[in-house]
Amino acid sequence: MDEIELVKRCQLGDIEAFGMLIEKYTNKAVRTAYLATGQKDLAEDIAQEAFMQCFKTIKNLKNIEYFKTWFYRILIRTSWRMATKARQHSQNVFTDINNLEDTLPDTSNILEEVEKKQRYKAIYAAINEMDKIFREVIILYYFNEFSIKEIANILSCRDGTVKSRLHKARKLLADIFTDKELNNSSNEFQLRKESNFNGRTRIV
Amino acid sequence: MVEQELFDKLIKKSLIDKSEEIIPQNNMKERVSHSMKYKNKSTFNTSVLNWKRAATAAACFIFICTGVSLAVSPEIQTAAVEKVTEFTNRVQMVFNVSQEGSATVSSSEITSVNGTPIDNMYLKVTKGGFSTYGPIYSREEAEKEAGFKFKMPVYLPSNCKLPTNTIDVSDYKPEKDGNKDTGKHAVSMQFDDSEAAFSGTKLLIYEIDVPEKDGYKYMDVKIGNNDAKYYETQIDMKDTSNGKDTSKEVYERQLRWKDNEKTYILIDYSGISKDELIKMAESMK
Repeated sequence: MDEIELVKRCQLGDIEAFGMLIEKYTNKAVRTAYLATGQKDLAEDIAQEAFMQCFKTIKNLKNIEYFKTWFYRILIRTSWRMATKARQHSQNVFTDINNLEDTLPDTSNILEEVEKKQRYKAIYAAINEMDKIFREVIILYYFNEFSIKEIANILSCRDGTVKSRLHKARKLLADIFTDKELNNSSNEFQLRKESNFNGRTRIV
Repeated sequence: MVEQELFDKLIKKSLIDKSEEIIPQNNMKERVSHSMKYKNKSTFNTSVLNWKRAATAAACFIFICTGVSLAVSPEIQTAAVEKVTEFTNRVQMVFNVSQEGSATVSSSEITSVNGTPIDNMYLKVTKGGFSTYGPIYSREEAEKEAGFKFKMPVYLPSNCKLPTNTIDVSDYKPEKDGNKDTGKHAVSMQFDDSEAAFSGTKLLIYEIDVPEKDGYKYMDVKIGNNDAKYYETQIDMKDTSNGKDTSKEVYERQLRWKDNEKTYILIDYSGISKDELIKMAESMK
């Protein structure tokens, strides 16, 4: 059964159909919430709340072909609302890196893997420190693979606004890479020892 | 261009890598379903709570409005005072206490009820000539002496007890001819050991039709299905006996009704509430 048919059935109050939609979206929804808030303990609750909101208001959805963007709009809004409410700060990525180094054995292959992991974490840390208007655009574009138009629909703004935010977000991220690192054919790169990001000095 | 692709790839990989730190559980359907049921319940509770809040707010609003109206409107003030005093009696009297502690009150010594001079029922009765005889120690003996069967309360408040010492029986002699026997009797009993005047709780049963006290404001009440009258009086007593000049306040609560052509009067000076007196009266057997 395709998604449009499921949504139609949900609008008629079919709980089983809604269960199928939950199954389809849970994975991505929980992970998107986690990326947006950086809080593992909150991510599932956010997804749950978003699904509940979705079921309550699905009857009001006029263009059912836009269900996906409509659902992500609810999810993103719920994420910000619940994260603010919880008043908890995101996990400190750098603490995680230190913990990882402390616990892994000192072998060269593993170290390579650790280095990769560290780089990814550092990039996410940079994303996580961005203002939420840039962070949400980055997550929706790169992780959820939405188009500019779809993101504009989710965030209820113009295409141009999304493009502008995406450009600014990329620029902020690019500042932490050196040209040399990006030119490395093996994708190996080094993060600057110190970089100025959003006016803050961080050691990475 | 290559740089841009590489850059995009790095961002994507970092996000995917981070997102894999969390493994969503398979019970989301159940969680949503359970949570929706719970929310429905709490929505009901919340609506009840909101209703209660609204009712409380409305009550406060009415209370404040009433207070403001009373403060600013003399007409409403007067009406409110009249309403409050509708069933309130206040008696001023002067009395002398003898050496033995019993009170003697004469009509001339009672000044007023609510500011109006009165002809007191008790005094009329006293002048008319109830002559008490006894002591009588049991209900059966009292009924035999009085010549009629009467009822007594089964329910008694905690500070009361059934009369164990005496039940008084009196002959009623009319005022104009104090020596003529009318064959009419009265029975009285005290529900405590108090012997002083204007104290304790007592029941009076008259074979004659005892009129309501002049000038008193009575309230209509029900004892079971029977109509009854109730009044409360604040008695401001001035004691001038033995050269003293002291004042004392006593509250008299009286419930009176007719049953089987007898007049029953339940009088309390000990602070028993109106509801308790009605409860006593309702339990009469």
